[in-house]
Amino acid sequence: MEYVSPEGLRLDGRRANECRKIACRLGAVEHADGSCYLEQGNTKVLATVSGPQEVEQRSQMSHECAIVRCEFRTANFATSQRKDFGSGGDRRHKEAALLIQQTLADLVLVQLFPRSQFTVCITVLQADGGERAVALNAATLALIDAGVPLKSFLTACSAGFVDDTAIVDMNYVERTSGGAEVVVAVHPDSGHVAYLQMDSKLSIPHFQGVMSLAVRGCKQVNKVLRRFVKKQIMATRSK
Amino acid sequence: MSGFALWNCPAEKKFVKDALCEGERTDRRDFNSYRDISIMFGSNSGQVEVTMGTTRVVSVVSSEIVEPRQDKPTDGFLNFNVEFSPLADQVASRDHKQVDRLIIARLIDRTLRGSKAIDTEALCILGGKAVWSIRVDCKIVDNGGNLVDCCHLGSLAALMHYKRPEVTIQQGNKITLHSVDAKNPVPLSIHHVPVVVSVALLNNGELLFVDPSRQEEAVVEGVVVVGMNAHEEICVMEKSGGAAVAAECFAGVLELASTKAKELINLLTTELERDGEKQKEASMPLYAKRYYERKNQKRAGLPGEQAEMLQQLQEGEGVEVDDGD
Repeated sequence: MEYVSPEGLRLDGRRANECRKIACRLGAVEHADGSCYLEQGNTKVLATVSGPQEVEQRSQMSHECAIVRCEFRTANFATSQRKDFGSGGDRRHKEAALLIQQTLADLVLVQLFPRSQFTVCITVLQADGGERAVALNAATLALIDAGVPLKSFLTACSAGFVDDTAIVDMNYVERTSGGAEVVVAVHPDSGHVAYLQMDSKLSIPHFQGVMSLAVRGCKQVNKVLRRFVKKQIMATRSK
Repeated sequence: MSGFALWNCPAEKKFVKDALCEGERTDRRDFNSYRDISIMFGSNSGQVEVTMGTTRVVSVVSSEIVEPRQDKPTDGFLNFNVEFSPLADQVASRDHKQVDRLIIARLIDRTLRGSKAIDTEALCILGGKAVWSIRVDCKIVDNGGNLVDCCHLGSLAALMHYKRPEVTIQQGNKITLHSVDAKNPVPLSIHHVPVVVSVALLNNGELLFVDPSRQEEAVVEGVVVVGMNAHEEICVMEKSGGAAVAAECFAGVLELASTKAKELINLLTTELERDGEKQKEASMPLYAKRYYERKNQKRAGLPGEQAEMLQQLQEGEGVEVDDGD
C-alpha cells in the first residue's frame, strides 16, 4: 500500500509537512473548572480540569507544591470496532496517563499552590491517530480555560516515517503501517522539548529528520490554537 | 540510623549537584562510564541476575502453551512484569514504586516486543489453536539507581538465554510437548538485540551522563531513555517530566547512547558465550571429560603427574634428564 504518492501527497491529500484541520472549543463542560474539546482531523478528545482542590490522598500531599493527577481513557466507541477499554485501567492507558501527568507537573506552576491537587481527566472520543499528542494539547487548553498559571503554551505533535518519508501528524492508517512514531511536546517560544516518546525502529539520521519535523509541526499547531484561544477570550469578554 | 535515607536530604543533594556541575561524580566515575556490571546466569535456562553497582535485578523467563487471541490467531504472547522485592527500596512510597513498575515494564515491552526484537509470530505452534505465551518476571532486589537499564538488560539476557521445550505436530493437529530430557530445548528467535541506555540531563541539557546512581537520580533535571541496537537503530526513546531541554541536545544524547549501547551488547554476548561454554562442559559425562584430558596430555608429551615431576627435577640442581634420545 502506498502511503505517500510520488507527487508527495498522502492518503488524505496532505503534504508531508501539513497538520490536520483543528477545531477547538474551550469551556465545553460547564461544571468543570476548565475544559476543552479538541479535534485534530478525525481524532476527537475531551479534557477537563478540576483544581486547585484538596488532595484526595493525604499521603501524597506535598507541602511545597501542588500535585497533578491525570486520568486517560478511551471511549468504547472510539475505534472502528467497539472495544471495551475499561475505565483506563489497562497498562497502555495507565502509562499514557502517567507520562502526561509528569509533563503537566512540570508545565503548571505548582509552587504557587502548596498542599493542593489538580485533576486532569482526558477522554478520547474518536481515535484516528495521534491521540497522545491531541490529549496533551487538550489538557493544556483545559488548564488555560481553568485559568491555571502555566510556564508556557505547551503544544504536542506526532510525526512518523513511512515510505522513506518523514510525515507529520499521522492518522490511524499511517500509524499502523509499521513505521516509527515520534510524539513531541515543546514550549513554542524557546523550542525546548518537554516530552518525547518514540516507538519502533528508526536510524539516527532519520530520527533527527522526523524530530525536527515534529517540532515544526508543534509550532504550526500552536499558532492555530492561540488564535482559537484569543477568539474565545474575546467572545467571553464581549458578553 | 542507617545511611540509606541520607541521599534524600537537601544538603546531600546540593553536594551531589554541585559536584556534577563541576564535572565530578561522587563515586569518581567518568560521565561516560557505567558502574561495574555483572551478568550471572542461573543453572536453568532463562534465569539471570544482573548487577549494576549496587542495583540488583533477577529476571526469570517462563512459558506455557495457551490459546491465541481471536483477532490475532498466529501471534504468541510476550508479557513483562516488574516487581519490587520488599527490601529493595525502603524509602520510596508504594505509589512511587507502582509508577516505576508500570513505566519500566511498558518500556521493556515497547523495546523488545514493539520493535520486533522478539518475533511473536515465531511463537505460534498451531494457528488459531495453540501459541506460546512467554512471560518475563523481573524482581528488583536492590534499588541503587538506574532501574530501567538494569531491568531491561536482565529481561534481554534472560530471553536470549532461555530455551523453550520442543514441540512437534503430528497428523496436522496433534501437538506433542517434549520434556527437556526427551528433546533438546530450543532458543527463542531474536531478530536484533536492543539495549537501553539512560542518559541523565543537568543544566538544561549541557551536562549528560549515563547510569545515574540513586543519589544522582534525585538531583537530575530529567532522564532520556534510549533503546538502541548494534546497527545504530533507535528502538525506543522516552523523555517525560523533568525540565524541558533544547532539541539540539538530543544529538549528544544519541551519540553517547550509541557508544554505551555497543559496549553493553558486547558485554552481553560475551557473557552468553561464556555461559554457553560452561553449560556444554557441565553437560559432558565424566568419562568423556577424562578422555579429552588424557588426549590433550598425550599431545603435550607426558601424562600430567609425570610431567610435573620432570619439571621439578629439571629445576633442581645438577640433575640431568635422560630422554632416551
